[in-house]
Amino acid sequence: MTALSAREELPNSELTENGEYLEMMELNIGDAAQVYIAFLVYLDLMESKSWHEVNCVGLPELQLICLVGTEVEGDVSQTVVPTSISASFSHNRIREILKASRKLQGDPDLPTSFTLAIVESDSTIVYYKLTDGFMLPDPQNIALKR
Amino acid sequence: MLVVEVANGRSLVWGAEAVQALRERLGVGGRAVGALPRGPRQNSRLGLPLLLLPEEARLLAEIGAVTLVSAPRPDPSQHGQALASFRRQQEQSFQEQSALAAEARENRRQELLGKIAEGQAAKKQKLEQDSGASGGRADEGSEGNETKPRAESGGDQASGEQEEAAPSPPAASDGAAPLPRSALLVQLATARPWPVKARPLDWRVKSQDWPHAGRPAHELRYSIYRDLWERGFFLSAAGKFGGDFLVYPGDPLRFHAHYIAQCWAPDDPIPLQDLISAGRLGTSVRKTLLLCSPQPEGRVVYTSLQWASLQ
Repeated sequence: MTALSAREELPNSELTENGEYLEMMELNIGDAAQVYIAFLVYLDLMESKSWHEVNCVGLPELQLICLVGTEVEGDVSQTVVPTSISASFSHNRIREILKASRKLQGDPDLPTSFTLAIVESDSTIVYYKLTDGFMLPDPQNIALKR
Repeated sequence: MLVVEVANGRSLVWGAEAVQALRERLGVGGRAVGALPRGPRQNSRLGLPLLLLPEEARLLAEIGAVTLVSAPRPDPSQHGQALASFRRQQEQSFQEQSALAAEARENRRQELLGKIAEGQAAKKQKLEQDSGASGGRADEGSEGNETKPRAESGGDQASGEQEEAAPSPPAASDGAAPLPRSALLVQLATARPWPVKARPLDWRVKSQDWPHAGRPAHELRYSIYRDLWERGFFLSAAGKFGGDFLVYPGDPLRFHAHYIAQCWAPDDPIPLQDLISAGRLGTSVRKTLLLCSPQPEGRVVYTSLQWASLQ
């Protein structure tokens, strides 16, 4: 699907003329819906969660748009994978995304992880962190600190 | 070697020592499913037997800690015979207990013989004194004729009875009431009272007693159960939490579970809605959801899923 047809499907011109959105379209990964979802997550992180910085990275081998950002200035960067609620991920795919996010990850000593940003059709977003191996259910392991 | 009886896919351990050994030495807990003899209508505290998960039973058999045997099936054609045999044993037990009860009663009587004689003598003396005080005529009559005093006064009748009983105490004892049926003590066997030949069961082969062999779900769960067990975790079933296994760092009586393990074939699609449900539940019960998949080379990979409370 080309960028042009995607723009036709999403008539909200304010959204589609945003610089970040255009950048995502230029990654040429996935369809317009995937770009739209990625953009919603981008906006949520930047505007609602007030992240310091979020960049859009394409993973063409996984046909995935992901966001790499830092919550607070100086923090290690995190990988966020936006996805629709209607999608299904096999464990193998999750492992592949983990492998890819290892390369994007700021600190190689931390256990490899990424955050799934699951977007509902009403644009509500829920975040779940997936980590390689065993993570104790200690509240300290959950990103609570700001 | 510990023995695990398997019937229709359910593996049961009947011995208390075996249950203890499994729990303490092998880190396999199973679940007690038997009603306690004194509390058959409750299920908060259950007793023997111990029901093992198919994965637990197979692991124990694979490492050579137990022998799986097919539980002997009662033969319907032998039912009447078994019942007759049971009744015969019960009757035999009743006869033995009756004899023992009579013997105990007789022994007790012999022990107390002196006291009885003493008591009777004292009573007789007292009666004689009483009757002597009331008049010599009745006293004479009572000694001379046994039937006559019955028509006379109350005091005379009592004295007459004493005399009747006194000469023949052993006869009275022999005729004592027999042991009533309701007093029969019934033994509840806590182990098989006599040995029964049981066929060993091969967990590699599918059979009526072991239907799990070759089932994809069983093979998947087993590879993960074994890997987690080898890592030193203590596992139990996790039906209550919608998972496959609850993963404890030690004995569940001492620790809370840390993980809810879900077994997925590596390429099976996991709907994100299910992932969220499981993750949300895990967060609310302070456990990490653990996605587990065996890899082709035999390794098992684990991914922890936790709610990310981005604010």
